[in-house]
This record gives sequence, C-alpha cells and structure tokens, in this order.
Amino acid sequence: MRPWLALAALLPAAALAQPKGDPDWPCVQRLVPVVAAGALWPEAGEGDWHAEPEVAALARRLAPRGVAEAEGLAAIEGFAAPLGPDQRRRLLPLAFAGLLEETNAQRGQVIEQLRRFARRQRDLAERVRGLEAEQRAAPTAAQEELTQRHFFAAKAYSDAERTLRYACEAPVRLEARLGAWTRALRAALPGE
Amino acid sequence: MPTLLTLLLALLLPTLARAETIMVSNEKDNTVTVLDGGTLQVLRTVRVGERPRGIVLSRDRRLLFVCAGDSDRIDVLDTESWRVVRHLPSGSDPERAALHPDGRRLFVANEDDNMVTVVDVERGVVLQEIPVGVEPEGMGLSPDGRFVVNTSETTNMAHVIEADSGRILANVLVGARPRYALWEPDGRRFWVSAEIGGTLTLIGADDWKVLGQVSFAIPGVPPEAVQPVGMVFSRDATKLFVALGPANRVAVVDVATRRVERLLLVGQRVWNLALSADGGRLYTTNGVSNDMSVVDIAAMRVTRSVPVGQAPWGVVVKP
Repeated sequence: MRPWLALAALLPAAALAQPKGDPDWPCVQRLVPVVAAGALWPEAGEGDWHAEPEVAALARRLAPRGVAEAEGLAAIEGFAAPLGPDQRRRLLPLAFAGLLEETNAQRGQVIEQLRRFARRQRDLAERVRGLEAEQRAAPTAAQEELTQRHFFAAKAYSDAERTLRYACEAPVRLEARLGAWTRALRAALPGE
Repeated sequence: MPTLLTLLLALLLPTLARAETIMVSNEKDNTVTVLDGGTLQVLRTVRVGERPRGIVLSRDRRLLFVCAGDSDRIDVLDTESWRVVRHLPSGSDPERAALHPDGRRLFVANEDDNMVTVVDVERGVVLQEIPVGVEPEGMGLSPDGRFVVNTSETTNMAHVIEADSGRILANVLVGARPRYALWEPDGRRFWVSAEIGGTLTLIGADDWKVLGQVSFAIPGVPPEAVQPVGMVFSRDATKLFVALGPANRVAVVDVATRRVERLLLVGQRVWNLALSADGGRLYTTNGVSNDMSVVDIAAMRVTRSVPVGQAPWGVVVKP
C-alpha cells in the first residue's frame, strides 16, 4: 500500500475512535481523566495524608512511573508491618489516599503526553495532505524533492500510529499498579 | 467418627457440586486459562492465536471457538485434549462470535472490516459475509435462531439480521459504542449495552422498537468510568448482571422493574461475565487487574479473586 493510502485508511479509525468527548484523545479506550477512590476503595474515607510524614513519604516514593508493582508491594508491607491494629485502620486508608492522588498526578502527565501525540499526528496528517496538493500542482522538476518529503512525512505518521496501542496502555499500567497496591493495603487491615 | 465424616463430606460436596470447567481468554497473553470450577485452581494455560477475545463453546461442549483477532482466524480448542485442533476462517479481526442453535453456523463480528462473517464450523468454510455498521462487535442470537443482533460500535446501532438470509431487518439506534446484545430466554426482547453512553437499551422483537433504557449512577465514581459491556441473566432470568468496565462494578438489574438493585465491587475494568452451571455463581473477567472475580449470587457478595492471564477478556463455563 502506498503511504498516503495507508494514511487515509488510518485517519477515519483515529477520528471515530471517540465519537464523544475529547477530540485530542487518540486512544480507543474511553478517557477517564481521574481514577476515583470510589472505583477502588469506596469505604476508605477522606483525610489529610500530607499531614502524616511517613504516609506522604511512602506515596511520593512509590508514585513515579518507574517504580515496579512488586517494589511498591514490598514497601507497603514494610510500612504496615510495625503498625498496630488501630494505626493500621487510620494510616492505611490515608496511604491509599496519598497513592491515589500521586498516581493520578503521574497519570495526568501521561494523558497530557498522549494528547500532545494526537495533536502532533493531526499536524503531520495535515502536512502530508498539503504535500500531496503541492505535488499535484508542482512542475516536473520539483516532483522528486516533493515525493521524498511526502514519503518521510507519511512514514513518520504511520510509524507513530503503530506505537499508539502500546502508548495507550501507559495510563492503564498505572491503574493496574495502583489497584494492586490498594488490594495490599486493604488486605493489611485488621479483620479484613 | 461422625465429625470427621461430616468434615470430609463438607470438603467434598462443593467440589462434587461444581464439576465444571471455567475458560478465560487472555487478550495480551495469547492464551486461554482453564480453571477447575470446584477448587478455582488453574488447571492449565493453553496457547492460542494472537489477541484472543470472544470465546464460544460448541453445542456438545467438546470444542471451544476462540476469536484470535490479530491472527484473523478462529482457533478450535479441544476441551478434552486441550489442543488447538483446527483453525477456521473468520474474516478480518474477529472479536466476538455467537453459535447458532443448529450448532453449525458461527456468526463472527469482524471489528475492522465492518462485516459479520458466517462460518460453517463443521466444513470450515465461510458461508456468508454480511455488511453492517462501523466496528461491529456484539453478537446476540435469538433463542429460536431466527435473528442475530449485531451492534456496531461507531454507528451506535443494533442491526437485526435474519439469520437464514443474512438480510438486515432493522437498524435500531442505541447508546454510544454498543458492545453487547443479549436476548431474554423467551425471545421476546433483547438488551444492548453501550460503553460510552453508559446505558442499557431494551428492544422488543415485535416491532424492533425501544422499550426502555437503564442508566447507572455510582456514588464516588465519575460517569465516564461507568462503561457497560458484558451481560448475563440469572438462571431464572429475573436479574440481569452487567459488567461496568473501569467503574469496577457489576450491576444487578431487576428485569421486571428495570431498577439497578446492587453494585458489586469486583476487579479492575470488568469486561465480561459468565454464570456457573448451577446458577449459584457469577464469574467476571477483569482486564486491568488480571483476575477473575467470583460472586456468590445468593449472598450477593464477591467471595474470591483468582489470578488468570494478562488482560482477561472472555469467560465461559463448561458444565
């Protein structure tokens, strides 16, 4: 398939993936901008996790994207181990609140990157279409250079589009990690 | 030793009562996880084609048809030897399928081809290709086999197709991105779930008119996270269970009143559901937490989470 045909085939899918909502959202999954406490631990309640230095330190240490799920699970286990039942009832929901807020901040950055990706793709598609129009109007002498520029622009678009399914998994991976940590916190509660 | 005997019986009975096998397709692992329904232990993990999603049992339950979307084929898994014994043609990117009551015709939704492909599972040939709306997915066969309802995710329609002729009888506008169609056992009405619309639509088979809608409000969960997909009826068909995606809930809807009676917290991004053979349990596939939740229906409680493969999607129960 010639590159501009591939481009034409890709555009409707990207444009139609999200019939409602954010036009800059390129992923097939519907955008859920913020993970809600109610989706993971409805009974956790509210509290000021910032006011507990150890909770705040745990949340900030685990939130960065590079921290593996297993590393967080070990840290949570280490955090809960010395706590008595009352402290667990008080501090573990707070740790959840901290991890949720910090993970949402990380996830928000990922979502913004994906939005930038969508805008860049739209600009690239525009450039490819512009080059096609130029090609049609240009004299023979200019054709070779325009063909080359068109080829690279279309290739940049198609290459980026191929990484999209993987890129769209980044917010999902953060959700999965947060879910595993939430289950560990809940499991460490006395009597649960 | 009556105590020991009682204890032994108590240990044995649930196992005997649930001599069933649960099968889960894992979209990212390219596998099917096979679990013992009694112990909920993983018995084996079977490699299949790429991106397995929809799974359907043959009528005699000896074969499992697996839609392998990225391999553009249906894998046929023998449920005794647990080997892929055959590949069937499916058309491009098969996502979900439904088997006709005749046991021969498999209706397959081709997600990226705007087509429903009818496959003869005995002869291994394509019988018909039916053009439908954009991104077809849900496939619901009426109990008498006369009609197949296909939902198209982008066109936001339920297409009612006459199964024998492939003729489209009606196009019914439903909620945004419809994902699943399920007929009531008496064949008089069917339900369609809409992932983006966040609703269910009930449609009558007399005139293909919309009879009602159900929506979901979950305290503390934003509406965009409420994404209805998979559905299954309770054994007596008085309750409809609905998987609500990243709301991490299964809704229990009373069929007569269309009221949402319960919202059960399960694993993350719950996609599809299956009922145990005795109707006592509900199994859910949770695509983000990579597990299967088990719901005790009498108690309306989530009793277990069982790890399966990566991105579990479809689930069926073999009695």
